[in-house]
Amino acid sequence: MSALYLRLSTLTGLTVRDLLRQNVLYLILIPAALTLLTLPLFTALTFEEQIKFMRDFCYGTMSIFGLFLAIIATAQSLSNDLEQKTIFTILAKPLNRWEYLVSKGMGIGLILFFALTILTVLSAGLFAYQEKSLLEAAIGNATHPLSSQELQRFSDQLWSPALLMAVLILYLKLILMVGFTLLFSTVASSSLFTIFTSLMIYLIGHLQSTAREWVMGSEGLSVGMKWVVGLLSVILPDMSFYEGAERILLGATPGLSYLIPPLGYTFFNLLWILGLSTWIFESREFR
Amino acid sequence: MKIVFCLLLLILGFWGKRFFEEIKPQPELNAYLPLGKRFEQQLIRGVLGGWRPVVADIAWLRVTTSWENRQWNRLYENVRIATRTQPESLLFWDMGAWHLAWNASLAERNNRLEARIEVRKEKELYWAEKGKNLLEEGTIYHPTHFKLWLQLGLLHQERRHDYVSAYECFLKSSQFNGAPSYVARMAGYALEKQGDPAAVLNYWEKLLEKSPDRPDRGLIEKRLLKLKKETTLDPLKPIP
Repeated sequence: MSALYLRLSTLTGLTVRDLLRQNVLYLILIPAALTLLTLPLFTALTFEEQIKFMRDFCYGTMSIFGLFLAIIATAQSLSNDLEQKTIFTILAKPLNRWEYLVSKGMGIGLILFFALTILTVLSAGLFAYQEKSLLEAAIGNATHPLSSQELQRFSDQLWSPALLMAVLILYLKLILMVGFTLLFSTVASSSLFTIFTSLMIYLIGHLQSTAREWVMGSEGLSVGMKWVVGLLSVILPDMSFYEGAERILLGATPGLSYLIPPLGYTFFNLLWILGLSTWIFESREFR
Repeated sequence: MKIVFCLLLLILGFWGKRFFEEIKPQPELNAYLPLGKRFEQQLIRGVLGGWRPVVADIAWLRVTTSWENRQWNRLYENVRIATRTQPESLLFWDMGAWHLAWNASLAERNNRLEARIEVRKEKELYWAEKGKNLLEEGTIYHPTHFKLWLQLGLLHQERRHDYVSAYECFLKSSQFNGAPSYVARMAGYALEKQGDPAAVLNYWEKLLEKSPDRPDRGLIEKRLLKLKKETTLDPLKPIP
């Protein structure tokens, strides 16, 4: 067990170092941070609108740049090992191929966690700055001074702990995308193909549940076709599991049990993805 | 051995995935919408990703500037973009309809640059109708939220003087969670304007009967007494 832990941690560390060396993290994290810093340029009319905008903007930035980081870093990671032939050195060691894949995923997961943490801290800083300037403006407003109740409500909405849960749900969604990208990387030789396919999967994942319902509910569809659709729905991800983050942004304040469905769904998806990608990776020959 | 391991992972993964799909606790956002509209929403969500609410918010910021510049058509376009991109946000429907049915409509009524009164009246009604249509569409996306039904009732009452529709909307609004107690009273006032005293008295009595611990019980009792006097009905006798 300790040998397995040692192998996994060493390979995970190598993946992290490799990703840092490739500058993928900085190339995505810096534009994301710069985008976040433009937040004070947008001012809305009411407090309610302003809070909504601040939440949406920070979450949107994390979501988009996080998705790019998850897909690009994963697609680059495996193909780089192949291009630079480092995979030969690694696989020549007494190491299972599933261990290699798991450590790749874990390394990218760590990088994602690090990136989201930085963006969350930056967002919190911006929230504090915006809160201060908004409150100053409100106190100076002679026509409509804010009551202490309004101030409290504003502060509560802005600093809701549920927002952290939204970031966690986003992290789970990105981890699922890492899994899918890793699966495509084991088949494809081009990282561009992997990136494009993963983005398609992301889009299809959003449409899956509605499309499945529509196809299954339509009359005149052959049993064979329904089987195909059923099979596709088993393989394709259902992104509606991660809609909880959007609910939180709209003002929902759920308990911790809210995390169980996306957590469980991500875990079991990663299991079958690992099974299939190991199967493919085992049968692949490297020359 | 390795294939067995992979197969085990595959089976366990698919089983777990199906299990979670079956016990999925909450309906999807907009799950009650017709499939076409849901598909549209999921497509927007997939294409814009996390930027979907941001796009809606930026359109909303443009609504505010259009309002300040009195560009009503531009305002309407941006309200539509915001409501289409993020229909789950109640704010866009509520405030968007307010801009159209009140701000734009009243600005057209008081537009001194237009000398013809009938044109002003026509434009006033045009924007009031746009606001009404927007709220009605909003109630498809938020069928159980009291706020939009309340706004729709107010719009029918104040802008269209349609007290029958106003009563129906207020009544509906009062039945949903979170509705303030005054909404049920507003339904009563709208009913009073329809000119059927027996129905009004019946409504107020039933309201008190249904929820005797209402915070506005005193107000309703006073109203009831006043109405009974006005309609020359014996306050001690039951309502016919």
